[in-house]
Amino acid sequence: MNRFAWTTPHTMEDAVAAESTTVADAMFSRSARPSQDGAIFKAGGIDLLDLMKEGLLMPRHLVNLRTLPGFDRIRQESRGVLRVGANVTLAQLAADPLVRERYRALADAVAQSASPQIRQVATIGGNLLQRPRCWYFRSRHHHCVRKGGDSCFAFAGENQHHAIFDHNGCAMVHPSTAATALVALGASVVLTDVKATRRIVRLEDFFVRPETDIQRENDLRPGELLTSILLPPLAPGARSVHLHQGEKDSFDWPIADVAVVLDIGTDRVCRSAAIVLGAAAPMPHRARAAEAALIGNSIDEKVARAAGRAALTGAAPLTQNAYKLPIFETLVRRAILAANGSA
Amino acid sequence: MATATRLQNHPFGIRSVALGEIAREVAAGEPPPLGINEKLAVIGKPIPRIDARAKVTGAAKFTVDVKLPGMLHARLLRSPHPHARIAAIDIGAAARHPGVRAVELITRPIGRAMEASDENTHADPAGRHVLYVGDAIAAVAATTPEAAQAALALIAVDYQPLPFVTDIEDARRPDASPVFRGPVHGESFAGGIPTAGPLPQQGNVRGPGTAGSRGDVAQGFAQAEVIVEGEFRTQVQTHCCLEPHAVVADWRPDGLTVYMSTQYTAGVRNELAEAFGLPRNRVRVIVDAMGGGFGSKSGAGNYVRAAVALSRRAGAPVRLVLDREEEHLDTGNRPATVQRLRIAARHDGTLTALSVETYGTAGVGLGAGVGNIAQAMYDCENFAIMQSDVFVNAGPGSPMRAPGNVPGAFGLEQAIDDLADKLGLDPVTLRDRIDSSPVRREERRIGATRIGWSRRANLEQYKILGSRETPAIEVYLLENYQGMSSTDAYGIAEPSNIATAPAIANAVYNAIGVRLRQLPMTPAHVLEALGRVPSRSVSR
Repeated sequence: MNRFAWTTPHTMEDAVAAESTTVADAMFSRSARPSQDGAIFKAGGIDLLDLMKEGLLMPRHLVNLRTLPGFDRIRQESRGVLRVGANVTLAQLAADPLVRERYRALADAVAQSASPQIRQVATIGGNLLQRPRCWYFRSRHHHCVRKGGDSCFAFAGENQHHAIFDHNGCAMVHPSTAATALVALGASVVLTDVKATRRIVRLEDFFVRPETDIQRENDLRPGELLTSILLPPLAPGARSVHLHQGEKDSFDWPIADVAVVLDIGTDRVCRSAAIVLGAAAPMPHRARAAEAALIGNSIDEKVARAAGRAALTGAAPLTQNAYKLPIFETLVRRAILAANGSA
Repeated sequence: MATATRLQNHPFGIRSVALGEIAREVAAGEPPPLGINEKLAVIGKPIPRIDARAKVTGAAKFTVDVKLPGMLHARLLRSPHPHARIAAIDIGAAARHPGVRAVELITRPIGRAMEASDENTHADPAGRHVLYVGDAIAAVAATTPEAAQAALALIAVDYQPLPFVTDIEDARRPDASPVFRGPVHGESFAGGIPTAGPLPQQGNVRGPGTAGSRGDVAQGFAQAEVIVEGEFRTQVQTHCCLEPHAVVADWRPDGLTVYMSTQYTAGVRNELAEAFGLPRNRVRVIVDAMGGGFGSKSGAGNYVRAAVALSRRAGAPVRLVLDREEEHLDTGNRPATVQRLRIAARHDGTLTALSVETYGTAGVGLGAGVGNIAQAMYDCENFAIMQSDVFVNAGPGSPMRAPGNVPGAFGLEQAIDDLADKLGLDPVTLRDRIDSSPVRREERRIGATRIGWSRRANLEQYKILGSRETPAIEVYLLENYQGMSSTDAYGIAEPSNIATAPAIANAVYNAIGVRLRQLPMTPAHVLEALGRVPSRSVSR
């Protein structure tokens, strides 16, 4: 690992004044040599430390946000919005009574992430901004297209854990399990910069597809800081469910995960549905055909099964990952039935 | 040392089944045998581990914790090519780099199959062939790890890349590019195949070794009433010790002290004494606590020799700790195997013939076999084994927790399970008939009772066992007196990992009716075995 300077700002203004760059910009290089320009923000530091130890990121300056006051709280705002500070840890989120009561999919998704030790340190902000776990991306011997190289090695290589949807030029899957739940729950992120410009972006629109910009997974801009996540209130009676399938139960990334949010009327008819697949595509994948199969219907086993099949619409598995199809189909069906209260 | 021997009588059998006494010839210097555990005050009684407190409190000192005054830090230059000839190498710039105190070339690497031409050549590193990615070429010692790392980049190596092969099936083809230029010899590093004596070698395939065969297999198959056969595959596993391979070498005029993460201090001492021309009483090997070895830390290897040579040249202690990538590339592994088993039996289960043909690869090492489990486990007069090593351009294998027998059990125990199925016998009943070991019979009885053998469990939520998924383990110790030494002590950790994979594979078969003939047993492989994975796929 390289030597670096370490500063600890005490206010958000000091933090954004640090002339930061994004990890994506620092790692992108035609010459396979990461840039040393610009400060890098560090929250929990989980992903950052991995990247630095592998020599994939060599910042001269780290700005430690971990002790920045005020960003480690979960707060009820007006109009039913729940504000989650970017420094809130995954463990905090998983245990929070409000989150568990109203946004169960999120609580369950983060409770299953990584290991207990990592959940104590990893922040939700860092979790959303973490870089892909693709083993070619993480290998300094592979100068892949996302790092400034010419090709994606996964298409002709070992791709059992890669995308089955939307792999336009890069077959990564988005690494955040929390994001699967947050997109289904309609969350937004709050971003700020040195001019105190505030952007509020729906998380679904914050993530970036490879065909839009292959070097980054999200629209975070140099100098910008992700400060909090906003969760809108769900309709009264709406229920959310997150299910995942891994090769191991702990300390592993899911090979497939699904978040379902359903609003079921008193007449048992589904009024709205959000179905999102994780570990499926370069960004959390909205299964709109599956949602359409539910809306306006009274949900039973047959309808849920049809929605499970519909969730695979547009799937284009690679050489080694077609096994994900039956897993997603099953997870979607089960999550729908669970959210419907019929399982 | 006295060499005269004498006969000693030892109790023989297990606690519940005393089989009498066994006579054994023992060396004159060996103490008299201990009694059975029940008659002893300490052995066989629960006592706290002597290092438990130090390890859980962090007080234990590992090799990576050793720090000596004036200690230098070393790094190894490794081949980025799977196969290449070194046309030229220049260490001048590296040696002049600020902080660098010594540079050593690794001209005759050990721990792999040796070609006849390796014996006398390569005092000059130019002309040496590197045989795998991670093959060590040179070592640098400097005042800081950063300086050592920076100096590696200054070593100019002119590689002439050569064709390579890394897949066992590709390597077996007659037209495969050869890993070695000619016949090889050497020790069976990975265990499993006795490599003594010349074996035929054709391309990258060396063997078959047939040691351990007995009886007349053709006749046994002719007597068969039932025959089962199957092919099974096991994959390379790396040891991945929590503490990496690590050494601090301290060469002084009056002798060599080596702090090393090793399982075998005496062996390392002897190896280094020979390699550096020192009397054994001038070499000390010290290991206090060790963070895992599992067979991969038995010998000194190239990295320790490099550290010692650097210390000698620099006149200062040298610390060399491998990183996680090096651990996977070049510190040994459990070789991959492809096994074809055929078993012949009568309707009552009696085995009339058992044949095992294996191809395994220990990379550039020897001994990628399946141990002697098929030979020793079940009563069968006619047994044939044909084991071959297949060379590929990858780091050499090494012993790993019951070498050979872990992959061997994966094939054997599934084939026996198949046989039980075909005979319409309960798998435990069949094993009780064909396995004459009273210990294992007792183990099966206890195990079947404790797990509720006839109960059908839900395997749908079964995952690869990690620390969280592993259920509470009940341990039953069966004292088995065999009279093998004066204390009759032997390891009991390895046997428990031999049976795990085939037991799970057999349980999966029992649950879903389809066999998983290769590891790992992931959701992907289970769905594939069930025919649930759609065939459509795209690639680009």
